[in-house]
Amino acid sequence: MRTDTTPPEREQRRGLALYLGGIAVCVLLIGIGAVWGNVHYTRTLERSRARQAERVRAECAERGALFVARIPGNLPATDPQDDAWDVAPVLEVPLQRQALTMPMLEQASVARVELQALTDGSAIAFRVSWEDPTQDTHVDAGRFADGVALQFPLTRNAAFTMGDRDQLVQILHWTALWQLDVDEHFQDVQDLHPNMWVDLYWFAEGPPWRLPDSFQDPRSLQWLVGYSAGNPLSDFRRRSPIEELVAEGFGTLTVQPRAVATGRGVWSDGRWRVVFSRPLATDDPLDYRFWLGGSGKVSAAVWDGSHGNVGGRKHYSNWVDFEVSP
Amino acid sequence: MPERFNWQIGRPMAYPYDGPQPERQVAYVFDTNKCIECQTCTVACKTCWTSGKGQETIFWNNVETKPYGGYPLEWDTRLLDQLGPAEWKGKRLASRTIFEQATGKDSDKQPPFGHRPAVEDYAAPNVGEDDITGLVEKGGHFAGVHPIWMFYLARICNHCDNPACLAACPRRAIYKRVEDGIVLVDQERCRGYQECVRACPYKKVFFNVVSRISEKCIGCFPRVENGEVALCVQSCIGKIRMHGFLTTRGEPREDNPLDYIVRIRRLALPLYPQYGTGPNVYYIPPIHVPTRFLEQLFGPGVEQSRRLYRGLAGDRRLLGCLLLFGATDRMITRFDVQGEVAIGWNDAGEEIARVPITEPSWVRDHYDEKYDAYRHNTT
Repeated sequence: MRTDTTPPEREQRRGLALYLGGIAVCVLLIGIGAVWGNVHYTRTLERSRARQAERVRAECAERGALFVARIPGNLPATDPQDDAWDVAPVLEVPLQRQALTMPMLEQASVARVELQALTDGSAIAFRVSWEDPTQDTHVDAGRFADGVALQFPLTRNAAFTMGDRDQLVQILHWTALWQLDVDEHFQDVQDLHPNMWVDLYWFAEGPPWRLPDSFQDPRSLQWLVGYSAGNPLSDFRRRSPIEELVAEGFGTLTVQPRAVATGRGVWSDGRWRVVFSRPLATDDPLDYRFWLGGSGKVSAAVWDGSHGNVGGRKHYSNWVDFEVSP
Repeated sequence: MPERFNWQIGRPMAYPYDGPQPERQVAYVFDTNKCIECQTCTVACKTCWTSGKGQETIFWNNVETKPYGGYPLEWDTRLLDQLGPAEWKGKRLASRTIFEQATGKDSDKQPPFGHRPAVEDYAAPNVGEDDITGLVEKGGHFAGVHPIWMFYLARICNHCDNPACLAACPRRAIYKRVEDGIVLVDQERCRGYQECVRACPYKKVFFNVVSRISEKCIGCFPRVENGEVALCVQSCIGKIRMHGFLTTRGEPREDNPLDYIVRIRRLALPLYPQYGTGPNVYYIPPIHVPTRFLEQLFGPGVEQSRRLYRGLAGDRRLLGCLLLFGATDRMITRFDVQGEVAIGWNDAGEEIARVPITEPSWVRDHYDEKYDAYRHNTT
């Protein structure tokens, strides 16, 4: 065998090769170790998070607080009948008739709500469900729709009675009427009174005189004063069954111009099930902030339309604590 | 709850807000003796203000037939049934107003006493109201009060001194303007709770099913701001209406037609003063209707008012003032009767109406010589 190198050079190279090989092996070993360690660490962390979540869940159950369980993906953000809700922890929250301010609710008809919440790590969804034998979806003279609201304190000492001056609360509000507006179409006069007949509405194209299609000419909107004044309640192009509001005491309820909450309510078997969902955090300072592993307060209000519930004539709960899974 | 004096009931009463008196109070006088229920006022108002989607059964102005008619159905009799008849001791109301019904520790949390009409109550205005039940005996029309009677009652928002709608609104979305006392629902702020609909004893706040908030007569404020009378007043072919202002800060003025008719002469009376809201549409009661009925509607001043009305021919100043009804489309804030004419002026001091006390008349010959023609009475 012929070589071009001298023995000492060869020795030198062999040494170098061994040296480099050794380093490579070491690096490999360290790498394997690191990966193994990392996996082990993650597993431990997961186990520890699961244990911690379990502990929080147990504590919540003990303290009568709501545990916001974390689920991997597919948050049932707009489906109150999703299977995930069957296994989510439930907190039963008692309601009472509003008798603190005018106008009071004379008689209570809803005793309690069941409250649940889930998070996927970036958004949170609450489900409220309660017994209501009648599905009240429309409003008219002396006729009112079912509804539900969740309230969160924006300042530490905000009262559950819709806050107080400089003690703000945020409120997410759903009504059965808005759900129908979104699911079907804007609930118009025809939906309330199918046999109605009107010869004409100025500047509108019709029949069938439906909003918004027949009312494209801006002049036809002159008589829709609430809409023209920008009242959110009069918006016949509503996209969400939920509105976001802030309040600092009775009578101060104010709609937030920007809303991120979504949701949906479904009535079946004498029960409303309504989901509210939104990102954990937003950049709006008047939005409540949730965070993983954090805790907070929530309260609920329910309106039973067929019992004349509207505005202050409602059922409400005190604050209840909730803790979000880490 | 703060108290305020209500001159219509001759005593102080509880009212939840201690607001200032407006600088002046928009007010109307309706002469029921002249109304023929032609509904021109109703149509003028509806065409202008409430002909939109959701306003199908909303009539800020309506005219109904008393005693049985009412829009919304039984708006007044239902409340009367619940409250019982008004009791007066002279000019002082002895019974309780709608603001004084609640008793006990939570009385401050009770809205004014009221009721909510149902959807059907708005569905058929005027239907069946004029069906007669008998005939007046020959010559009975001239005998004063009839045994069988009816009359027309034109109604708009009363722009009350103590509005029940305002007191009932938990959001304070209803306000009374300082400049003229017109009561308005803030269309941006209202959330459609219908508390105002329940509280207004006259049922003159309406729920709009399309805008899903409450609406009411705006007193034609864009016209009032320009010194023009409301459309229901301008369009009245029977000239039964006068639109002006009552003096609120200071004594009633002899030369203010509204002050003169309402406060000084007390010819025109508030509708259901016993409710305590201080309504500002004042009615000259019909002269042919039994007093007992009218006193439930207009309070204890009915007989005196009727005496004045019957004696109008010799009451030049009052007669002159009434002749200014419908004489101009602008708001008369000062008037005078000078010799054989009644004159009205506006805020700027411009003469806007001049009406003779007695209309001149001419009798023309049966035969016209110039045209060689005979004149015939064709009616």
